[in-house]
Amino acid sequence: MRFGLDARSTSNRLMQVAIIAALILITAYAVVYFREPFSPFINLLLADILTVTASVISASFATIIWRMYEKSDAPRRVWGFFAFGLWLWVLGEVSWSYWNLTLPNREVPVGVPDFFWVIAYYFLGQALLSQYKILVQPTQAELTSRVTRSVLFLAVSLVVIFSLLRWLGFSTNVFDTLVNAFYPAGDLTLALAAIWITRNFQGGAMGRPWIGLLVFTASDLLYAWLQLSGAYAWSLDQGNLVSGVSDIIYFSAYLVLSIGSFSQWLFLKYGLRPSHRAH
Amino acid sequence: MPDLSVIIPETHQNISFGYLEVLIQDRRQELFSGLMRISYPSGENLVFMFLDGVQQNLYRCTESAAEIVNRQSWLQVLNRPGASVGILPMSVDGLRLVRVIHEAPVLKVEKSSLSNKELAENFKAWADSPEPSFVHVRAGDVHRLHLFVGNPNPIVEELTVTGAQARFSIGGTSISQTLPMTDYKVSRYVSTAENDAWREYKLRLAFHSLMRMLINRFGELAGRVLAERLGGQLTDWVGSSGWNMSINSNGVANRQYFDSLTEAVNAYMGILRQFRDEASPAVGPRLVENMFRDSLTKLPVNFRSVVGSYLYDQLGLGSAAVVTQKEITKL
Repeated sequence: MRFGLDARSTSNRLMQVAIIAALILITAYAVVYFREPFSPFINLLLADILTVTASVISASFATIIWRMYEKSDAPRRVWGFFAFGLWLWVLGEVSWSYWNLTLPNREVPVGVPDFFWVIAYYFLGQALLSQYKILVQPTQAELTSRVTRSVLFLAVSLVVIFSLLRWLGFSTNVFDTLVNAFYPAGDLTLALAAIWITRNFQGGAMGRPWIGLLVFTASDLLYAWLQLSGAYAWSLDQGNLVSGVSDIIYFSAYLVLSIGSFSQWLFLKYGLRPSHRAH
Repeated sequence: MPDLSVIIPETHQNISFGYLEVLIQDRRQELFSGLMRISYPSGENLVFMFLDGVQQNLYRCTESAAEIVNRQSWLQVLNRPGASVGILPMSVDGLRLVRVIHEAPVLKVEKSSLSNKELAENFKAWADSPEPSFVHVRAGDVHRLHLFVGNPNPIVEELTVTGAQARFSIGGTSISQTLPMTDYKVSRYVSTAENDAWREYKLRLAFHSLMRMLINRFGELAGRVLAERLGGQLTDWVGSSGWNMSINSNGVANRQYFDSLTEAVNAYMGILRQFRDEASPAVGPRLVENMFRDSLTKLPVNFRSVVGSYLYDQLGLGSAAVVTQKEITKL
């Protein structure tokens, strides 16, 4: 019992509070982005702080869930990788925001933030792979086949997108193009795995965090496309509608991911009504 | 069978019906669980089965068979002088084993005298036999009863009776090579699986294995805490339904004595439905269904068939044959 409510009601109330809080944050972000109520620097600072905050929330919930599982629990491994990947994204967001706020033209070059973001894909991939192993309990041959196919898919996607970008001439720097091509390729690979896992959980609470990753992946694809096409606005005073929508979706994706993880936390804490004997 | 009355040591001789009634009343008051043997000078042997002070069944035992005495006829059958009475307390596990021995039909009886080495060798052969059977091994005043459900025999339940004590245990498909060196009088009763006593017995063993796999698989997907909580939930539900069972990651601690196969099926069905209802919000209905199918295919063949036909069909999961044909790894 919490606040005089039973576990299910408490869980529902907390979820409602989380959704309302997320909507308030999205609204605040949109207001800062489109209304620009303060000076350009303060507006940018607020937008970056909100994004970093959202990423910290999602990584924190993933970490809390990781801690809730016992050492022998298979899902603990999933959440360990997932949380670590999300914390790397936090580092990516923090470093990106730093350069975004300090560089004169606000344009953050490929560098340290990308290092964190790109490395995070390995850990997110490991999280998905661990979840796959729990779901299917594959033989070594099946596992090798699945991993090989995923890596091949990633490699082919990377080559195709890289070639496309070089052909379109978005960037003259090969390394920059390669890094920028990696995001959509990595996102697509993660998205397919997340879709597969979400489909198997079919609405179960354990599948909700992966829905968040799916939404994030979609938003990241849009972000990457805008960035590569040159349509992305690096500061709010240069902002345009498409760029704004992209940033809001990107910001919202962190919150959706957080809500997915929060939902999992609620289920672990309140789901499956505790047995009467436990009272 | 088997006249099981030989394993029950005599405690009272040549008593009146009135005194017999007193003895029965005493067993009721002390919530006795076990067997009461009532023998008459005519050679007729009756065995009363008590569970927690309640008389469950009365069997009339002859050398080759046992029959259930209709409850309405109890008074008439017992109302005779000169009865000799023996009492053997035992747990519900032992009673369930004895019940199968009394109620399963006997197609063939094989009697032999074996050394300890021969007994161990024969034990393996009995375990490999596809027909269900029960074996009575006697050495001095020690009686051992073994139940073989039919190959494969993952579990062989045993009841050892020494003097006035009965000890139930679960063994494997081999018997200890270190048995005392003596001559063992062995009676093997070959039965047929087409009987409700065996079906209920097999279903209980199968259900135990099935639940252990389901809870463990749920634990793999959702973690041990939720798996334990699910076991607690199911135990609460079972308790509120009036059944004496508890469920955890080790399977089912089943202390329930079901009156019939139908009653057992209803209880197990209810637990599986409850499992499905509780587990689905966590891992989704699709995975729960896969867990059911996966667990079924991992059961021994003879358990699979009984679970398939008595539980899964009614749960809408399809017959065992269909389920096993499906490729479960394709989620």
